[in-house]
Amino acid sequence: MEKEKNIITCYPEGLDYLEKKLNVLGLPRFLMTGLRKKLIKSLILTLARQ
Amino acid sequence: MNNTELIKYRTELFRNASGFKKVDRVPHLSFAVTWKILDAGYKLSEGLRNYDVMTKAICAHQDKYNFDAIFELGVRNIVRLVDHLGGGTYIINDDIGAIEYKDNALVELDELDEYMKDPTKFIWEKGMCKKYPKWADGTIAVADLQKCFDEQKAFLKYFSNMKKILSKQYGLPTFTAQSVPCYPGIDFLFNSILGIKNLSIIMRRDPGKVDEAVKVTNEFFQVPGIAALKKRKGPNPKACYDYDIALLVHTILNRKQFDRWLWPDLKDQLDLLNEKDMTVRLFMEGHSKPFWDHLQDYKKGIITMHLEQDDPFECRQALPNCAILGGMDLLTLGNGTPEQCVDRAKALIDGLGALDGGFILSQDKMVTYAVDAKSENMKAVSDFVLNYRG
Repeated sequence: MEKEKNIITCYPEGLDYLEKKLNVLGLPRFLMTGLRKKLIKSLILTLARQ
Repeated sequence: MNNTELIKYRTELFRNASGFKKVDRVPHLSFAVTWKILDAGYKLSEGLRNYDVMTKAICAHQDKYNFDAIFELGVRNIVRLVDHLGGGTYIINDDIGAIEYKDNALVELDELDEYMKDPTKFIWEKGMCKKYPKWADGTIAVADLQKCFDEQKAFLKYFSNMKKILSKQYGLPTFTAQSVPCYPGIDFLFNSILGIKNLSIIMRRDPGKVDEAVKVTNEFFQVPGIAALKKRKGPNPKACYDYDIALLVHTILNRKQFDRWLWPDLKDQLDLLNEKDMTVRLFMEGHSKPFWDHLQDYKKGIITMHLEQDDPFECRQALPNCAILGGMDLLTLGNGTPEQCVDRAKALIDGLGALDGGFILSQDKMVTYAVDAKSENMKAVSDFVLNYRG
């Protein structure tokens, strides 16, 4: 049987999932969803570059 | 002078030098990177993995050499961020005091079309797998990424604290007033996306595809960077420079390739800076001479050329409109005597007429390894430049 894929590694599903689960630099959820997503994308890009 | 006055004095010293105005002495910039850690008696891994050690190393650097500004504040190699995921590009070798950098492509050539279709999706789903085993085998957890975020927060705290210490305790100014990076797509393709090997191959095999790849890659940094630059009102007199551009890809480009893939994006940045009278440190690693003719028509004092392997005197002849930063070569700093180093610094200042402006003394390369400079040489140059009035 094929192993189920980890949602974190899928885009954009992983971004939506992480936005709900992560504490993004203390920014409140619901109020700042757009900014939180932007910062998560930025972190992934930084990690990919390092 | 108290530290507030010292910051003002040093900022004006840089601004006057880059603007070809008379200076009472030549400003001296530290371009030391990991050398600072080794020179302070620490191992690279200690400095790079412990922000308290890095802070001590940078303070020791300023205590010893009394620079007018420090360019690199321990941020070039953010190894702690990736440690939590067990991957990354850097290998720290404490035995020889070096960081090795893997030419690690995020995109292989047979994946380029897929990358261009949706670059963010590709980097997220496939690029990350090439750097991090946990991402590749699907064992990555929310907690791993939370640690990365917490680490990023710790890094930002360190960086802010470091700047505060340098300003409050040492009277050192902010070097560059730029918050949004602007980075040409071709350089990002070279450094991170395709890597040196893949980019070199595709440029020859399918130049049209490179055109497309540059265009989509520009969406990451170049396009937002230009938008942010357009919003800037003009010079920020509180920093030594308004802008900073560092490039590496030109080291593998011939003139035709430079004009096709790098110059249009670089020109967009420089034209805007010129229009807004904003000053820029332009650091082109290796040789930049083959491309100097592009820079001849910019207003005097806008561009400061941070030279690495090009001759400052030749640059002054070819680009009398551009200030020069650098000149203090690592060959002399690492192998010469203090007297030879001071002779070199004096020859640069006198030969370039630097007390009339247009020159800032600095090391000509990122000072990285222990052998790059002897401490007594760095000290001799610093003492000389602080006191030399012509």
